[in-house]
Amino acid sequence: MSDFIARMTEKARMNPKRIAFPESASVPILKCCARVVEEKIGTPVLVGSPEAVEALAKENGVSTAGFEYFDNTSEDAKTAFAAEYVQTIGSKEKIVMKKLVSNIKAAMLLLKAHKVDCVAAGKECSTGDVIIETISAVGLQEGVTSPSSLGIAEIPGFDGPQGEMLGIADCAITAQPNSEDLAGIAIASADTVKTLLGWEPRVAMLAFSTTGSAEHESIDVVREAVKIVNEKRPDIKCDGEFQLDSAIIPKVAEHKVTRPSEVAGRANILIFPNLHAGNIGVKLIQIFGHANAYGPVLQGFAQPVCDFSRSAPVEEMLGNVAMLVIRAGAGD
Amino acid sequence: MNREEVLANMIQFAARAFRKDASEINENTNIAEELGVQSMQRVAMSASIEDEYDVMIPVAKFGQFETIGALVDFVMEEA
Repeated sequence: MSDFIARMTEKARMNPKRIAFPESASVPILKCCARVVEEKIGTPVLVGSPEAVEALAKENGVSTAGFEYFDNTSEDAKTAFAAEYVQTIGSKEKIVMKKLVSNIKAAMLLLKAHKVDCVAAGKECSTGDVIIETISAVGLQEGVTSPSSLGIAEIPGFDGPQGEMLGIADCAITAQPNSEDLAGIAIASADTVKTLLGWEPRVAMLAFSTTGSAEHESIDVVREAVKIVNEKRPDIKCDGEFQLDSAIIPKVAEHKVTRPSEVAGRANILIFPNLHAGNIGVKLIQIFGHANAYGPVLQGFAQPVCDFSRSAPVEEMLGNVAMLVIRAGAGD
Repeated sequence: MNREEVLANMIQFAARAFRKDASEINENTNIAEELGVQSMQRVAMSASIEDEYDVMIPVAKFGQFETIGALVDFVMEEA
């Protein structure tokens, strides 16, 4: 287990949560659930037939001790849940019953109804499916117009305010964010990083210009996003537009940023102007900087959900679940 | 289910999903031009429609409806 995952697991253990796992027919998911129980970071609630899960686990030598189930193959279980859901949340019984047939929709309804604290999916479903079902059931966080994905990079030799670590977003979801979307990505990233790592967020909005050194309509989008964050969340230190070097290298910031800034030269979260830059940026630091990238953390929803990479090994999935549990405990 | 009720609900759903003032939305509002084309917002509106009328509109199909009125007609036919 990497140091980072070990730290996240230790933090999650202090406030364990109930986690819905809709992909209960996946052996890696069962193994991940067993690790969740072993590490005492939460209670896995598997959506599906308990008999089918137990049989699959036995066949693969996975312990199911500590597992709980929401059996959406049982008419009684679905009817009881639907009646309670309609009473407490709203909607119509017929519609809820129809949704409960799908494991991922059922998991999201459990989350909406606070029967679980978070949902972990994406091992079998696509990221798009996870996002659509989350938006449909629980919606977006206040001040956020688009979900996003935060990566936590550990870059050997980098000497920033958080040592070798940096938060970076959006690396996977919103291709061409407008200023409202970018502001939402910045807000969600600041909240995620504060919750997970305890840092005081200093968010730099990146561009190919530093405080007016160039002019282009795409830079206006970034400048507008800074204004929106500062208006909506004055508690978050967010500034820009900055080039990468002005954001993270104090000497460059001293030279290029002539006005006072609490972020320039010491940013610990970088917000890319679009997904091209985000994707290229992550790959550059991984290939040339030999960085480890943790996450990605799917963020911006009203309640916490994580999206596994389909190729993720069980220990990486455990790290994702640990971060999810920490985020689920943020409001406690 | 009468058309006025469905239209009133649809305006509320659109206002919530697209973060607009409901008073700016009417039957002739052009969804793409006046509300937006973001798939996340369309997903949110589809979810509201499904929750109220049990009519599922996939995101890919959402773009086929030019106006709020066209959406209302579809829901009236399907519900």
